[in-house]
Amino acid sequence: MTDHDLQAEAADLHEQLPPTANLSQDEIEDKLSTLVGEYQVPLDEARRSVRNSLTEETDAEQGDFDGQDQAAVVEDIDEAEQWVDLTAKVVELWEPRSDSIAQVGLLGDETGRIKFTAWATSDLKQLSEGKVYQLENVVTDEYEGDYSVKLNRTTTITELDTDIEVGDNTTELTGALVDIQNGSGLIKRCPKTDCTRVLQNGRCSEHGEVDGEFDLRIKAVLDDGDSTQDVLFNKEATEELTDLTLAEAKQMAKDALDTSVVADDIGEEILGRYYQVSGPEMGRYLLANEFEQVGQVDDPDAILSRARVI
Amino acid sequence: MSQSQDDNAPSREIAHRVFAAEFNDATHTFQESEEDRAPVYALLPTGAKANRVFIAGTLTETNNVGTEDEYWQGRIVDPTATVFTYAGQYQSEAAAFLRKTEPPAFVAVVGKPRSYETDDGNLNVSLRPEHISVVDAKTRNRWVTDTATQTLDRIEAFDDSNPYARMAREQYGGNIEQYRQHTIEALESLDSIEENGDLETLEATQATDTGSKTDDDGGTTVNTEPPETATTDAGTASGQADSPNADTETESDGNGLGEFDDTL
Repeated sequence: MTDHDLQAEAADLHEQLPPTANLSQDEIEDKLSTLVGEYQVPLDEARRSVRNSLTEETDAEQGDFDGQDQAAVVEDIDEAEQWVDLTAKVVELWEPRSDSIAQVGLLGDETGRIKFTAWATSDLKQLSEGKVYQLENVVTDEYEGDYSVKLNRTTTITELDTDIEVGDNTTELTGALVDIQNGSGLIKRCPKTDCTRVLQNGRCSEHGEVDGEFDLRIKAVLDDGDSTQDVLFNKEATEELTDLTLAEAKQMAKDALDTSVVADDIGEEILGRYYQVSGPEMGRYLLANEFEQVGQVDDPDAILSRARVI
Repeated sequence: MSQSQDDNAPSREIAHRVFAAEFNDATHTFQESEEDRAPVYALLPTGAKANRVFIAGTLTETNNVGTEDEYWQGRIVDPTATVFTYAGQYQSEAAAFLRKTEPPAFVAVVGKPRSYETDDGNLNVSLRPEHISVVDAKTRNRWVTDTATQTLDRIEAFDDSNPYARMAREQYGGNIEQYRQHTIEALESLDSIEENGDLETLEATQATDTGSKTDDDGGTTVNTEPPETATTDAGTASGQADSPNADTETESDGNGLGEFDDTL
């Protein structure tokens, strides 16, 4: 390691700093030199470390330093196999379903939430729920329209002493409810642990014939005249939307000796009405977390004025 | 809004908002693909294709016009005109609805435009329902403003850069001023309904409309003939327009077969 190397490295880093950064090339060289000289840190690692500290000190975007990685926010992730840097909070950790997965859960930043997976073979530092991390070199992935990020062997994890107000990817739509799809109303799910699959003719596609557990849900189509959106109401949402409880639905099906009466009854309640629905999008569905039936618009006169001047 | 996971699966057809007067004029139908069961579209005079529509109004009369099997006709009146809807054995849910529902009632219908030739050679358009439900006045009024807005959107986009506007000009002559007038009338009619509020006054406000469409003795107006001589069907390309199979379109309908769907 020569001084010349350090000088060149410092010049290189200095050049990439935003003009607002109040840091000279000499100061950068000092930092590098301390790490490399006194602490015997390899130059690559020293460079990375200084770069990080500069990022924090100067608010330079990580992407300024590196052509490959882009500092990203969750809502902008819309392509697989992109290398990105995220600053995100661990919203939730889930139980890994396989030994090959070290950690799995949800990350979030101001713009939304995204699933993450850390592989056991990557041998990474464990993330803790509720903590905020700077995650460099994570790879995006896509499955059936849902995006996730994968932590890997090259990912660096830096815990940050800050908090993030995590956004919730909420989409809000208003339209007419024009259809209720198959699999709505009173359904049965597989009772096996961790399996919630909906039974088809008493069979689970994974566990075969089982004694199902009753549940209520609605898979509906919301149509605003320009586009359509599949909307999913879970049991709680269905009960609130229809004023029909699971117990009442079961009784109704028992009386009729037919579960389909429940979906028919729900259809009469909700089809052809206008709703405003909001919630996160999961695959093709908007999950209806909040919703209300909407009536007449406040100001038909504005539309009338428009009609008169066309 | 919605994006299909399978690029081969056509997305669901949008339910176009259209006033009765324009709907009844949408006699020209066409397809955009040679494929089996490709959707059939009715051409709206304001320049849009519609395989599915959403119409709300007052159900003023129901009649079983079938000879052997039940075949229910419903008259649905909006501020601009009357739409005729027909439901037979393959629309059993809608037929049951028309059998049991006592007019007058506000209803909302999602369905397919269907054009047919009458005995005297005229083309008529009726509505084949997928769903009918009783709704309240605020939903019906919401529909009026929604439909007004979307009709105005179409009128504003009615120029030669829009292929359906060009088609409408060829097929119908391109005079769309009347649809703007209908929209204005529809919006103006909201005031009176809003003030009076409910169904009691509704019969009165719409009696003139109903009267102009039919004889009181239920006589032989063109529209009351059941469309048994269907020539085209804006649901499918199939010749058997009313068979249950033909009713199924090739659009994705959420069977929930994917693992993801199943666990939600």
